[in-house]
Amino acid sequence: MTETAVMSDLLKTQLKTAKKQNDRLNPDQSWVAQNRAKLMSQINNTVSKDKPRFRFDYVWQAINIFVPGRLAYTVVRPMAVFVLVGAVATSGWIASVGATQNCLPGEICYGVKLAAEKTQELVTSVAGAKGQQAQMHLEFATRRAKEVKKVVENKAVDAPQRAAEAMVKLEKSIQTANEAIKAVVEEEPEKIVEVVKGMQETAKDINQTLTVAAEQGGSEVDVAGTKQAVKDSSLDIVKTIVQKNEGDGKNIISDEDAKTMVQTQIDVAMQDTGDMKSRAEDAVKVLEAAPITSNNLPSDVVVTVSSTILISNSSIQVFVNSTTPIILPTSTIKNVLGDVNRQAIAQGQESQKTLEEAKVLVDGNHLLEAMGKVKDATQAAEEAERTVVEVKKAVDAVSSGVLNSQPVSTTTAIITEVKK
Amino acid sequence: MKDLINEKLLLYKVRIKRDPEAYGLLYDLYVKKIYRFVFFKISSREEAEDLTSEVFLKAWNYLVENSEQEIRSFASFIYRIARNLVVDFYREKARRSSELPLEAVIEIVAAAGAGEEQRLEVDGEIDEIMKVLKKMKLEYQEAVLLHYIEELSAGEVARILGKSQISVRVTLHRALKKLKELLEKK
Repeated sequence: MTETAVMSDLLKTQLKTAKKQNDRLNPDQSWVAQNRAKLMSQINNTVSKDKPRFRFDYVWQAINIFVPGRLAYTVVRPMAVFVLVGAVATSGWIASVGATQNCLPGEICYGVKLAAEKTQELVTSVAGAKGQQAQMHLEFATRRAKEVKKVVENKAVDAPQRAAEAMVKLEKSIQTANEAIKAVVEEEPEKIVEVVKGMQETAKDINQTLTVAAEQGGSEVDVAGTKQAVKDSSLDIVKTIVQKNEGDGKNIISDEDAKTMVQTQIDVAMQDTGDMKSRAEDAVKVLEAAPITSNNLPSDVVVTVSSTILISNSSIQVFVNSTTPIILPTSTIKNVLGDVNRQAIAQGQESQKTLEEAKVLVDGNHLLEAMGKVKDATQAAEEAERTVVEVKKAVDAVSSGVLNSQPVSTTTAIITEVKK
Repeated sequence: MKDLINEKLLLYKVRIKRDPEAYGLLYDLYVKKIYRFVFFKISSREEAEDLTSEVFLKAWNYLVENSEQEIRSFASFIYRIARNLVVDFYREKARRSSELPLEAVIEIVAAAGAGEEQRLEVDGEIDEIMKVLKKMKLEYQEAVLLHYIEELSAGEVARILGKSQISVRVTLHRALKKLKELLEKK
């Protein structure tokens, strides 16, 4: 053995014994005991008397106790999933879906839940009823939206990723439902009124659920794209039906039903635009109430802007693509963000006006033109919504005076560093 | 192996049954290790005690509130919490004095206690090694502390530090070499 190797071994041995030989590294025994008692008292107060509900994960966690880590993940886990999927496939739907209904993206049982849905999908497609298939996919999409909300509520470290995973699946379900509904138009037109009614209600529910999730999840959970996909799908279906109804002169649904469908789309768009405007107005109020200078908020702020939405505003072109920090008075930032928000509110008002025009067109039985107006208004409101979301991130930072608690290493944050 | 199964069983009881007694036993197993880890980085007995208490309380809250999240190893989990709290501690300290970029905070954490050798009075070779170790960069300090002093496996160290096992092995090799060099210069 070389001298270096001997020295390495000696050093390793000394390091190993450091914790035993050096008392100063170890805690005081009386503190250890006192702290234990204090900890036990604290955690006993947090223990709920309610028994936790059974979940598939618990089985996996129990297996994991006795199976070595690598073997558990490479052999036992896939086998467990296989067995569970088999059990789901061969047992009744009610029991299996009930057992997995609380599973969320990122959990082992989530694969089982999706597999259960896949089997359900297969069974329904064999049965051949398109209306039933469409309703099933809409139900899956609603589940995904609830999963997004729940994942955000659980506040896991990787919540944004898991929410994104659920949203990708949600969009897929909506797309499949869209195709199935179009097939209903062709194959089972007598059911289309009922199916579209269900679709419009589902779209409304999903929209509300995602909005709540976004409010709870903050800037990291971006639901705008998914909300847009759901709305677009709904608009597309109603437009297809209206076109078909007006096109060949042979109505697949009554004029009254067609009018109701379009009117519902207008009402939903009106509601969304109103909500967006309220959020923008709230943000302006919060921004206006924020102190320009205080102990928490310095008079000058060093900012870098990475938000693409701000490109649309010519008055703040100076920020865009700036890679080096710029020093600006906080009052300027407030004014700029306030201006952008007010533009969003104005955009919302425009959308509402367009929707009012659509209502008049519906009264005159010009449904296709009305749908065109609804689509334009929805798109404009969506753009304004994105602006509001982006500005809210900055408003939160400016108004709460927590600029300096932003992670200093976060280069994508609108305001990255504060210097007095 | 028996210890590992026992530890996993305790973790299972905490997560599924929310059993405070089981958590008490996990506390017994880890309190000294976590205290040493924190104290080594902070070098103040009172602050190390406060942070260690916070680590265990935070870990309990996370375990019972997120029972669906997979935790492969309690050791990796609790050390990660401790590591994050130490970084938060220095970040807060830095924020109070003046605004510092994260890089500067990391340097402060690495150098913490390096100028406070008087607290660790020289008392033989071990103290000398600890003093030299504190002067090394943070990455080396953590790897040596966790692997050689606390005797965690390279895999566990990798999970705590968020690196690959190979990267940890390379770091350990370099750290040991550097430690030897510095000790030889003494």
